[in-house]
Amino acid sequence: SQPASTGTSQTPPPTTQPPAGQGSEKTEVAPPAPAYVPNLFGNFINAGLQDANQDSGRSSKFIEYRDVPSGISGPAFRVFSDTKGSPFLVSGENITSRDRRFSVWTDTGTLRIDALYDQIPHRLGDNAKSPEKVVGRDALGISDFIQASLQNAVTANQRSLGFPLLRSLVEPLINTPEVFDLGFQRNRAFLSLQLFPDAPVNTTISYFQENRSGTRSAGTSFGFGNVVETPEPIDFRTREVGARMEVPVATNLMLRGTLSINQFNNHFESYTFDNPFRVTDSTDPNAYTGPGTGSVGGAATGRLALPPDNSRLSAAIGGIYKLPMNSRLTADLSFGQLRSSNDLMPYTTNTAILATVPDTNHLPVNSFDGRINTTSAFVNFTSRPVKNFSLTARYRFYDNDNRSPRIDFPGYVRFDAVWEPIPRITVPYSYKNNRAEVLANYDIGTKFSVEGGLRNERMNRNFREVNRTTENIAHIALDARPSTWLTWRNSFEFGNRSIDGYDVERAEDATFQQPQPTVLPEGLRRFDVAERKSNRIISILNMNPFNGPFDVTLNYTRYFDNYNHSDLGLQKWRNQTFTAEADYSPAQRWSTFAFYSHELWDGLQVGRQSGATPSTDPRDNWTADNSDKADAVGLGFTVGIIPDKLDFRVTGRTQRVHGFAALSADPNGITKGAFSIPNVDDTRLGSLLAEATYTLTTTWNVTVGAWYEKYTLKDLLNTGTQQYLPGGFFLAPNDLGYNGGAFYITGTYRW
Amino acid sequence: QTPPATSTASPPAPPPGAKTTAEAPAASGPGFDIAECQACHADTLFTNFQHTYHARKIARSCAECHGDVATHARMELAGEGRGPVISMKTMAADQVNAKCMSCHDRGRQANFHGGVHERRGLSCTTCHSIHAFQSQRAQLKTPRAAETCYNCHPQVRAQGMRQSHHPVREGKLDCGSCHDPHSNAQRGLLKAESINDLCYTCHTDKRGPFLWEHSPVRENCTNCHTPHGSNHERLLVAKLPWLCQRCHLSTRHPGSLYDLRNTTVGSNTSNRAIEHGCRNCHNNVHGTNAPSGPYFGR
Repeated sequence: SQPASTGTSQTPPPTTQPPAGQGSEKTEVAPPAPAYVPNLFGNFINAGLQDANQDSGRSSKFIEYRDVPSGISGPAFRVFSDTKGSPFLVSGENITSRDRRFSVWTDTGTLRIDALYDQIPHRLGDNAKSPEKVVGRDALGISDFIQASLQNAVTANQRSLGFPLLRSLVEPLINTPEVFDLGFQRNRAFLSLQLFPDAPVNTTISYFQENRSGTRSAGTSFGFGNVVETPEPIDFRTREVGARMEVPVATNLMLRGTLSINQFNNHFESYTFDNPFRVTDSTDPNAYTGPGTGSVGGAATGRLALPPDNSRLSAAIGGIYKLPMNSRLTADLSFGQLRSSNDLMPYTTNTAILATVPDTNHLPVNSFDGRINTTSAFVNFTSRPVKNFSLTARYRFYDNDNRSPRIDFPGYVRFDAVWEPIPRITVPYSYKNNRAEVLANYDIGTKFSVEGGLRNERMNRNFREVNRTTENIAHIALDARPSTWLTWRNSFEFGNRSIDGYDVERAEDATFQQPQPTVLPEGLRRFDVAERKSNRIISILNMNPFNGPFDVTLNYTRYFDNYNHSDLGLQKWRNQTFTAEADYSPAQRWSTFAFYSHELWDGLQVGRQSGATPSTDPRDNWTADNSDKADAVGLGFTVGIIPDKLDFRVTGRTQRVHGFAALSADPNGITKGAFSIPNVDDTRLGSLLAEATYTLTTTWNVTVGAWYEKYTLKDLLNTGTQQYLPGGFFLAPNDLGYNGGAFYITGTYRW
Repeated sequence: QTPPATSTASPPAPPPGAKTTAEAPAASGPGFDIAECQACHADTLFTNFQHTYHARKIARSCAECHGDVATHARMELAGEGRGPVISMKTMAADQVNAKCMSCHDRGRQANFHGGVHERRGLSCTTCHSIHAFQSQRAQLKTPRAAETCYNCHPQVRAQGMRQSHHPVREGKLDCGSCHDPHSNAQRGLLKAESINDLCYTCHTDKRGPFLWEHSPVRENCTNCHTPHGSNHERLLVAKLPWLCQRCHLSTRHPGSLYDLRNTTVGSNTSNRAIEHGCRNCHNNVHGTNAPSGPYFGR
């Protein structure tokens, strides 16, 4: 395994096609050497030896989506046959690793088979440490002896409980932790069968299955001051069967339809974990604050609901009707249904609550039969009646209709610790989206084109602060092609979203059987339903002087949202990117590239800190201007040192991201000022790869190479996290920096 | 590897220099088989081409796209110039597209007409190569599909280099996993009826429906996640707890300021700021079936 793709392409960029209706003029100079074309259908098998090292412990980041084994690496193969007009191709890569992939493709004339088996690891953190040990497939636990001793200790010292004392009490637990490697593996298989692929009627049947297993961190808390982060067990199965048919019913009309059924199953409906500070269940009005001076109560064991089994049924029909004047009408209509029908778990594991609160002994319903119907309709008209003008008009409707029942609950149990007799009601949230758009494109001569468009997007929601949002967006694109080797594309969007009134409490109130006193500040506007003005700018300049071997691309992108009517909440959001890329490929086996990119993410928000009731004092406001600035530089070259014998390749890049939380507040307000956080997910990544391939004979070649990566992360909210900090136990896995790399030698046999 | 439809009879190709129209020049004249063309043209044109559908299944082969190759060969051998041969490299984008779409006007490619890439002057051969393709699938001009897209969308490549990313640069996914470059009904050329329907393709555990729904989550995953890459864990658009606080500013802890004092080096480390922030307690933010889960804690 080698470093993940590091940068820009090493092949020529897309050619600049002459504008519509105009063939290109003769090129001014000789065209660049044709790109090297690898033999994609030749048979080969390779295998290698690799020495991989990571000198900073076991950071999961080093192997996040890949395996980097020491010893045998890679083996890959491809076998291709094209006898009797029935091609057959089978290939595999990384076949001894957990990121292996196999594919098979064949076309018999009556059946085209496409099959893929792919393993995708996702490592989330090595050496995670937990006080909980695995005591069952869906259960973690702590010895009763330790729980009892901690319960006795916190009970005896309740009046003086604080972090120093708790830290000393949990010392035995954190000194002998259970160690987990967080992460999971996706094993995917896909099979597609296309019947009579050469026939006008296209019929395809497909099957997909993914088995996902492993663990990931979960916030499993027993109270405000007693987070116990645990590894959530994952054992998912997803299966999908699909069929697609396309029928040309006339020369100008094609109909199509699809049907698919997707089923998700989770082997674990829930899992349990122990409270380090309780061996017996108890409850009191403040138990959600325990262990602390207010309470040492709570449950001995907690339970977390895991993703429920669910399914999706989807059917679609549509067609394309070709009209005169180079026009066509496309229409598609689809229906879907999401379902989740599962037994509900009890309110709580806490027997002390079950014994004292009759309401908790039986649920209003024993199962939940959730159902969401989706309807999607799309009509698209496109026309190019004359060579330099095109028109597009389209309309899209999407309805997400949640038909799940509303269920009344007399209350809920907070953190398995306290029964809160506050009647709640579930909210089957639904929405509808309508979008209409018109676009016109006109070529001004052969060197310029302009596009203008208007889009209206309307969202209707229920149970939200806003019933309807309407966004109008104007779109302009200007393209210039003054020469066959120079292209400048620009697009601009200006949007304005309006609302039909904002009720700050409506969404909260919908979840209570009786509206509660307001807890939200009046000026809050939730950004997804707030008024806003937005603009988008994309500009890309591509130069390939005289259609020669040198190519430069400059790109500038700016997305900006201004929530100009929001007193509190997100105010502004901005993303800007500038990239510069250059390629120089003077010969078939000689190419170089370099790139630079600068990126800025910036979100400005205003919050207000309150006590028990919403503050109306602006001095209690705080402001967070969180930004990420990223700079990346890369370069590389591939050169044929000895033609057709020895190739040499070097690539490298470095990237630096600076995250900064600029925080401010009034010194006279409730927060007493604010202190910015200088390092928020600051990352640096550098990589270097050098590789030489020597062709020994027409059938054998050998590749020798080495790569090195250095990754650092500095984050004052994560790095330095210890197993026990004020407020909880944390898994504190090693997903941080590393220095790592590998030296490898690979032999390839081709036939 | 999309099968072309049966070829149809075509009018003669226009003479060199003739004014072109939106209709592509059509093939005509007697055909040469591949071996005859290969006698003059470089091997690189045929290394992979000979195994493609174009070479294997189209009756008149080179002539199907290049017109009267017989006359071309005769004139070249006689030193009379190139003759009436058609080259995609000198054809206008709409001509190239019309030529390709004369066979490939089905499946997803059928949506290319009037799509954003066609409107902006791209042709099929902007991304695909008939002869010198570099990818095992789809005959792309670059070995990996993403590299083709990055040529015009370099900002997406920049985002893909962030510490939190989908496994695109590792080769496990590519742009085509989510987007349909041939255009379709959706903004962003997404391959599903909505953003969420697309995300549910792989993240089926987030699909629900749930007893307790989180409305902005149900509506749009990109309210909180940025799929091309983020500097923050789990592709989040911003760091927790501030991301949650863009909407949740109610009394007590949701609206509280979390600053340097609450970090791992601060004097008042808070379990609402460090590690997974709000998710240390509100784990099931995507929805839950727990009866005691109105605040997504269980």
